[in-house]
Amino acid sequence: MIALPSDPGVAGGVVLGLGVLAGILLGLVAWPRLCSALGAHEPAGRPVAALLALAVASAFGTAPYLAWRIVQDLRYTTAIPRDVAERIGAYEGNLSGGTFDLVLEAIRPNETYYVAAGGGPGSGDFDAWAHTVLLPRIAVDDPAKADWILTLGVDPRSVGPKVGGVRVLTSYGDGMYLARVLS
Amino acid sequence: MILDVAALFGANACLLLAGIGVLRLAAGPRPPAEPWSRVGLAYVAGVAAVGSIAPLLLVAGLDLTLAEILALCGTLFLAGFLRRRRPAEVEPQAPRDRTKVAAACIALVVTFFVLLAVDLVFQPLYRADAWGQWTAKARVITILGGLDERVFASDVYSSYNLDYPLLLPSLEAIDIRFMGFSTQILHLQFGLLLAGFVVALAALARKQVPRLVLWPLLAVLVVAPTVAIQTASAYADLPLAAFFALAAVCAHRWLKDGDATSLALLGLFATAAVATKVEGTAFAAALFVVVVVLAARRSWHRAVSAALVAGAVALVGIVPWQAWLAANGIPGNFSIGNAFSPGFLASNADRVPTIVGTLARDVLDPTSWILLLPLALAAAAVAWHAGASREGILLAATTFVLSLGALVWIYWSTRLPIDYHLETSSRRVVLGPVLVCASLAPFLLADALAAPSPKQRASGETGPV
Repeated sequence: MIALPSDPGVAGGVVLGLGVLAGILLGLVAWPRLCSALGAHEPAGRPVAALLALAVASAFGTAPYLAWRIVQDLRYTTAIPRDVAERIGAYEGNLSGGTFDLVLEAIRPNETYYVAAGGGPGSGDFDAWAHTVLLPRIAVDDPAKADWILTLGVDPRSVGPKVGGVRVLTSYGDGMYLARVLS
Repeated sequence: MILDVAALFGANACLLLAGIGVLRLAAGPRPPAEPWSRVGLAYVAGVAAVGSIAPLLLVAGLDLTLAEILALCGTLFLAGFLRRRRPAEVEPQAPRDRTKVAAACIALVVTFFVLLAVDLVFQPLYRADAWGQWTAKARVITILGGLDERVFASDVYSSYNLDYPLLLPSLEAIDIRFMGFSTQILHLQFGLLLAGFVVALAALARKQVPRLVLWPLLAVLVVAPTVAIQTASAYADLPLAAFFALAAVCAHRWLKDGDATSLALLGLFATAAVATKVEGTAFAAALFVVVVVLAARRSWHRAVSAALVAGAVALVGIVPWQAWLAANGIPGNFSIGNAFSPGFLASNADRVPTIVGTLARDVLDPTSWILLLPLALAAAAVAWHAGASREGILLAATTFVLSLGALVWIYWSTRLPIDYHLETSSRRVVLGPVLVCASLAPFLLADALAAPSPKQRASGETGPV
């Protein structure tokens, strides 16, 4: 869950504390009932009842806090615009997710591309994100065999083959560039 | 969004139909009764069956189109009618739970599932291995059509972990065929699988475990933080853990009753585990070693039956995919060479304490599990002390230890830096062994309650039913 609070804070602490108290109370309420229901089964009846009472206490004791955490996550995720949510992997990887839409418009579905990243912010996920979002366009490992060169923080002209029509897609971060490989 | 949710439910309705057929096919003389819990078991059986067969269709060159998916689900549904069923036996009415404890726990579980479902619908696909590997492969299958070798056999796409089994990408491809590329709604698939797993457990436990014993432990399992987190991660760890745990529960039922349905379901869920993640093979192997040894204590015939099922699991779940990988020159991430190299293992023996310490911390961490594993271990101890059948205890304990041992071995022989590998995966991969223990715990407690008291043993009586 993208926005689970790692620290309960005051509100979470209160919920956790109250929940633990409620759990202990429920466990204590459940214990005699469980003993009554299972006590005939000797010798295991009372140990099983104790175990189940502990299970009840721990489940009910922690459930309010855990539910509170999920609600905090929900408050965050429901506020994310849908187009951002669909590109969240890019944004989490320090990439400009919407910029890849420009790449989708430029590279035809049956064309190939070569990816290069310069090592700056976003480089870690750049090729992985390109590989998933640019389908059915296929990535190749040799720029000379590609129709296009897509780079992050790298001048496409420095990659190898002769290119034309170099475009700066975004100057966000180290900049993303697209160029057509000239045959 | 509502249409996407409806479409996802449509896809899962097809999986349920397939599972109904699979259950009918597997059901021997005693089909499981109780319609509501049978729905959960049928659903997970359908996911397991379709999820295990779909990769075979991909390997055979099919594209998993909508028509092919419907044909597969329809075929499995109709196959169930090939077997003539006897009328369901009337099961004795379970004693009413006057304590209301089970009802309260069921209410907690249902409430938690509703909350989780709402969260899943809005959850973005933010985990790198989810969008960059599992769902990415599903996108390739649906966009390019099947196992396009320009991706699945290309070094350029090595970040996809091309050697990983295909159950989850196949399942997501089915969802995408129905609803399109809605990466948020896709998370709901994992919520449905978790809910199906819990209800399937209830179905399998129905005859042996009183509700009063089952539902408090299931409540702890469902609210355990790491279960919700792994469900929302869209990784394959939760599906693997669910299939592995259900396989273990079916193994327990088979060892106890000799029920052919349970043996068939053991094979089905073990195949699904193997078809989900690489460590699924290690987990299934650990389970079958234990099952064969325990079965042999009763009869060689049973041991051979279990071994044959293990062979069938390998034949369906492992061989075709490994053959496709070999034919296309895809290397495995898991280093077979390292794993069986005494020199490598000896020179990296210093990894073992770190690995064992990390896994021990991960399975016991209360911020991940609350008290799930201590409760499960205590259940085994109570059952042992009560003189319950040793079979169930040995199945739970040995499978747990062996599956953790398999994880230690995998980490020991990894090519990756060990700290990095542990940090990025250890909390997830222990889900399987812990769920096995937690799923068997109610059965062990039921065995403990059914065990004769020392006085009864002395007089030759059996315990209370």
